[in-house]
Amino acid sequence: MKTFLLVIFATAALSATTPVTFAQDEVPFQNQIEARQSFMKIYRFNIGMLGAMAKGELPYDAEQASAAANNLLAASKMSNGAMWPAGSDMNSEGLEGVTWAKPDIWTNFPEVGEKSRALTEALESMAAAAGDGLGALRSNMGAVGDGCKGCHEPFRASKD
Amino acid sequence: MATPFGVFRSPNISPDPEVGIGNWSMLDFINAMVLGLSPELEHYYPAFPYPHYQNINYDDLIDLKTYLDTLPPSPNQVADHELIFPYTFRRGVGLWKWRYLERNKSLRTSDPKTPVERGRYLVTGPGHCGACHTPRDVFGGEMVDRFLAGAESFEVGEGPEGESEGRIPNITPHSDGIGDWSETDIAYSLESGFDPDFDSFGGSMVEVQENTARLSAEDRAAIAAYLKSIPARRSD
Repeated sequence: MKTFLLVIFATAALSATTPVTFAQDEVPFQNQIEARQSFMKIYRFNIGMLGAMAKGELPYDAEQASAAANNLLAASKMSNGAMWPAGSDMNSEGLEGVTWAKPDIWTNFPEVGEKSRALTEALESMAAAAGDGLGALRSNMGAVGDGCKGCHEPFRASKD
Repeated sequence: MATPFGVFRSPNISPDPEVGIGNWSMLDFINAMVLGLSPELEHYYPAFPYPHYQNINYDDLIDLKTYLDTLPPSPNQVADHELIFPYTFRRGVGLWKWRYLERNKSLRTSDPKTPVERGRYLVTGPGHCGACHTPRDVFGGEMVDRFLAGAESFEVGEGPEGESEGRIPNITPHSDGIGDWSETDIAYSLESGFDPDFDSFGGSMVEVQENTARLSAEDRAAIAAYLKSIPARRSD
């Protein structure tokens, strides 16, 4: 009993002091889910640079814009299939509130691949245009957004 | 659309005289949009968002019908709704209307001249934002005291699992909602589909945003101004 309590206290102390992403230490496919969510943050960070310029919150800088656009293009070409193992969807046991990936992803692989190629195409145009002035950057934002939404519309549940 | 009340199907509203609304008079159209009544004076189920469309002004309704009349007729015959007992009784909708229609009407603007009031008009009328963002009670009526405070998605996946479509976000100025979004953030998100963290919109909001992207910049700014002006409400 004493050891048991000690373990509970130790766990409680750990979770109180360690800033972890997940409420529990162990969820199925934690590694893969963390990887893909971090991957999305890389996208978000770089789109954020372009978007802040498009929105007028950050002064336009051709070099920074090109760099961000090239990062996005490179990211979209990375193979990340291993981050999406079957059974790591939001309906799987223990994954509610951890991932918002709908199980439909795994029954619609051809569509996912198509959407992913469409995103790469949009990012190719963006990478070519981002350094050519704010107007060129702005006119490519819509297509990049469509690329993101291509998967987020059918395959990601609302997170609130 | 699969809901807890059964499956609703979107009818053909093209000007086809047989299966669409090609034979409707202007009055038929306005009765449908404002009173939720068919040309045969039967109640429509409020899956058709007339509780919101009743807040659209007559000039806009007339323009809308005039525009719909210019579209190509479609011969597409849509199957009936498949509802669960007791919702199969349309007459019950009359009772529902008596209870709920006035509540939604109370949200309307009397004078959509200023940006905030123009925003109120767009949000509570044609935009029908509350249809998803306001929680509903057990009878499917919107809880106006929880207006736009976020809700469990009313839509459920088809099939035995009934997969939830997730939560619809709180869009009031509360910290549970979009309190830290500026008016520019809101307007830009409706234009581009990116939230202030540059995550893209997903789910059913994508289709909505693709429409708000076609509004004028003034109308998006008006929606933003209005959403900043409503009472902040916490999520459930």
